[in-house]
Amino acid sequence: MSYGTRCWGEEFLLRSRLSRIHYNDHFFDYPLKLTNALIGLGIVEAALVGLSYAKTRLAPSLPETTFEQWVSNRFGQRLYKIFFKTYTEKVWGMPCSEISAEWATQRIKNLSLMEVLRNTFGANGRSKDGQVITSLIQQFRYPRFGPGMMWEQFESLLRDRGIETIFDRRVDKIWHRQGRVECIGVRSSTGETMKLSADQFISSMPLRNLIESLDPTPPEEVLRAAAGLRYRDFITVVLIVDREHIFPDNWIYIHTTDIAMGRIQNYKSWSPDMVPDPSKTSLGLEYFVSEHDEMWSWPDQKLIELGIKECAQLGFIEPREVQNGTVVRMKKTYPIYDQAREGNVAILQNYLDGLENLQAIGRNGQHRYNNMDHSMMTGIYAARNVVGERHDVWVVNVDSEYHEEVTPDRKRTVFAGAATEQREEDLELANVLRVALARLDPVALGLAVGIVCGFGLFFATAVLLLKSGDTVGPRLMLFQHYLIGYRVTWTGALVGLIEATVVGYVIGCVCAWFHNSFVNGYIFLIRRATEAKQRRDIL
Amino acid sequence: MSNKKEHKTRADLDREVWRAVARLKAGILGLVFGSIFGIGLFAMTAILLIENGPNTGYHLRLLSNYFIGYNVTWKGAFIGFLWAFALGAMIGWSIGFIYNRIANQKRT
Repeated sequence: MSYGTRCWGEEFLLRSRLSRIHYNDHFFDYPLKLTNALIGLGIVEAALVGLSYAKTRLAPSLPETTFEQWVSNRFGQRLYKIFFKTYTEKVWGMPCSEISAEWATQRIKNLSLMEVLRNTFGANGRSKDGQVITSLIQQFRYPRFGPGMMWEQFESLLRDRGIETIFDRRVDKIWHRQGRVECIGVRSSTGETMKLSADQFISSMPLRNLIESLDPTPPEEVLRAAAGLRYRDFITVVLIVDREHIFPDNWIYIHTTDIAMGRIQNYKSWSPDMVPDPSKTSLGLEYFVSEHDEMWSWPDQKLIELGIKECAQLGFIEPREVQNGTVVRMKKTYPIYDQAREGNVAILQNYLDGLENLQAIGRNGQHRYNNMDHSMMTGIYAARNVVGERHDVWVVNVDSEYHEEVTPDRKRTVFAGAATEQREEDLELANVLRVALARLDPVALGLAVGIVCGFGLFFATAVLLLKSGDTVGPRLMLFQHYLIGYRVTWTGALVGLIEATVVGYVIGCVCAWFHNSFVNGYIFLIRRATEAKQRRDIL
Repeated sequence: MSNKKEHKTRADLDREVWRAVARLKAGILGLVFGSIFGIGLFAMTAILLIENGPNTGYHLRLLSNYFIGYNVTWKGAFIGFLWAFALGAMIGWSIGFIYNRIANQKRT
């Protein structure tokens, strides 16, 4: 039973997943399904997509440094332009040719053989470390009133133990000395300031702000790396629509270029209880912007009007059905994966390694595009570290083996706890696979078949020679057509022994080679199929 | 199970699966070869008997040089089945046995 189900029981609903892509008045399944995509595009476009794919497979763009190259090499340039380019550029506000391929590879990690086989042999869409392979999710658990329920529950648990949670405080200063953070300075929205001391500090604030808050100030190189981190901001326009049902999707990705909206979500599809009046629907229209964009500072009413207009343009609603609306602006929603991100984060991570009682967690804390589960995992690791365990919070969602021990030169390591059971299961699986997919040793099989053939012919000849007669072995002698120098004589028997051994050896080797090739081919095919499944869920 | 084994990484397990060399079950291989040989000879004899032409089984009966009591008759077909089964079993078992010995030897 998952932690969420244990904590919230029936408040943790089992919901179906449905997401689609809207492109040129058509809906396409998401994750992408080839047949659905090709039917939706029409015969001519489908043929062009096929040709474009074939071209890219024959001449891929190498080396793969950008998102554009990475996706084009796997889907073809044409399909990339239809299903990836417009949406990705809406999200990131920059050309795909400037987005690092690292972003794609982080989301679609290279699958290990074990993971592929586990997936193929029915591991319920879970990878080896127990994480759900996202492209395979058909259903998911969701808190009845949204994820905020989780944080309220945590706060309540702390309160029950007499631990106070302080809200509405912005961290202004972080004072450190001799490799340890000593205290932090915080400010409330009313301007009230205070200093807080602690033994351990866990930061989920944006990495750039964290570095800029440090006192004494870090070296120039570190400050430069922090200043180089870029963010994408986010506006949600929420519309209350006087209609019971609009569409069943959780999300619809809007790829159509003349619509500014990037994605639209139906809160009712996440949980019906999130909309108190069942006769109405609440839609969240998502606009990916930057703080310095003009749109960021538009009045709420103007944004709501834009939302209504675009929803109507897409055919989801009639403008008169909208009863109310509100706008939520969220800064620094996405860390931008430009070409400099990896190097900058490495510098900052290295610097923060020097502060032994400070841990950076979460999407913004690590400037990494982690999903909520990965972000929460970094928090769980950090909490365990506080009580004496040793986990590397930075390797979550980077190294697929983040639960394994790593080399001692890294300060934080090892998450064993929950992984132990999984590991035992893996060992069992590995034992089964070792037998099921074992290769034949060509030399051993060649020698075995060779020896049996050689001695077989020798004994067959010898039996006839011992029986003797007028004409000995006229039929067996026919082997001389294939085995040079073979006769049904004692000398010929020895010649036959040697030659039949050689022929048998070759036959055995070839058989082993074919067997091994089929096993390798099978593994290759299922690996390709699993990777393809994951790639469909890249948005 | 040793601690060392428990700490194998995914990459280690992957490598192990990739490197795993099959061992043959000599007994089962013998049984398979024996069955194929035995049933094969029985079927070949039976077909000739059913066709029942002149000079039935002129060549096949030469196997009597090795299989005592074998002939292209219904009785001979059963005797041939036993002989061929025994020969096939021996060949299959020998291949399995020799293969395993060599594979183990290479492994060590």
